[in-house]
Amino acid sequence: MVSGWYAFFRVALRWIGRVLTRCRVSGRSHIPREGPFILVANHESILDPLLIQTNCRRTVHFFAKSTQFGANAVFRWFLPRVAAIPARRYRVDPQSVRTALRALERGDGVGIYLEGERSWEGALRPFRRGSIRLILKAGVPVVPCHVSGTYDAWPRWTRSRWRSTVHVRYGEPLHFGVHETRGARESALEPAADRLRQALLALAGERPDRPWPTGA
Amino acid sequence: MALIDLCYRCPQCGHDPMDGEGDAVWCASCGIWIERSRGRLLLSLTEGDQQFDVSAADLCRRIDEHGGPITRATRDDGTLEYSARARISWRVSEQAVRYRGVLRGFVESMGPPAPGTVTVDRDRVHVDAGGRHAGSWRHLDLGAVQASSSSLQLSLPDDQLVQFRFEDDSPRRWETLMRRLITDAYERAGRGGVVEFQPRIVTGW
Repeated sequence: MVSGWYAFFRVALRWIGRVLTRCRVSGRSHIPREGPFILVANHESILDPLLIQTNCRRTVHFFAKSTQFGANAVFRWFLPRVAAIPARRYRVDPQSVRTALRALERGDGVGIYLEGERSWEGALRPFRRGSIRLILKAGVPVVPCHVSGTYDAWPRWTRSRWRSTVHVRYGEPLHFGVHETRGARESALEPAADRLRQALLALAGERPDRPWPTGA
Repeated sequence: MALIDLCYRCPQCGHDPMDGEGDAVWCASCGIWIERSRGRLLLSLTEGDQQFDVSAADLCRRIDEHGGPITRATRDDGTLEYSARARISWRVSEQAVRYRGVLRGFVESMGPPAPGTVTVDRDRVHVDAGGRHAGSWRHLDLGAVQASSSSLQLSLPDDQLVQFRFEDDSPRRWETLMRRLITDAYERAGRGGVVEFQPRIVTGW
């Protein structure tokens, strides 16, 4: 279900995304046309949610750190209207999981940054176990999405932006099945994390290896 | 937020700290210069010399190989202590976030920041922001560690949350330092290796 505000911001922010980056998108056909799904992505920049959500035709409820909602009145008004789910990072947050599961029950998409935060160094970090558990509990198709180039455009350690080429790649949906019990989820945790990591790395492709300069 | 938050220590010679401003850092010891330009990180081995593309992942890996934040925190006698000035705030409440009458989640409200000092040693973290905003907690009693671009949050016992916004230090240095000290404390206590630091500290067994 697409709300009016969400539809409005998707169009408006897509144009802002085009101003901020030179964005290429591939694999959009992998996003299910209907029914619930989970979209998992790497997270290198504050630009990621803007580019992923505006290039996805379905409504995606993305987890966002709760402190962003409290940053100022504008964010507090804006974030719920773009379907952001506040997630407290300093404790296990069952309410954010409930909100996500409700969105899936309604047939919407839910977006998860598996690393739980923006990468400092632009490389894929370890995945949060709670995110994998949610995927295993939900049992819906999981669409991997890799965004490259946003780290060069705007990494987390600077306020300055650079307009660079960004590539958003959606991959084929993965199916993990429903794991009803905690025991089943725990035993499937590591294999699922490995599969998701491989899917994201495959979308990322080879990154050129840069030898450390020696001055020779 | 600046490049020095990422590159707080020289990736070339290990000198700590780096000097820096905005999107550039330089080492007073070996003279390398790193700057962000055209969206890339460029390194010069000497000022004005040829520039090389380097990746942030390489910088971080080399900083870790030099010992990360531990070397500077270690004294000559082998004890460990490190401190920094910070604006320190505590969680005062949580507010519900609703949209169209439906609860979506909760957001923490932090109290007004007070100037203070945070100090760590091998076993404890000490917070001093004056008056009742002072305390000391064992690393083993911390609930979670999480860093944002400009601050570090620690979950304390009794459902307390404290946030440090460092005045002249790197949140990434502090995140790495806290994680290493907590991992070390858990291993010394025989509790196993820490595999996750947020939303709660989890060990491998």
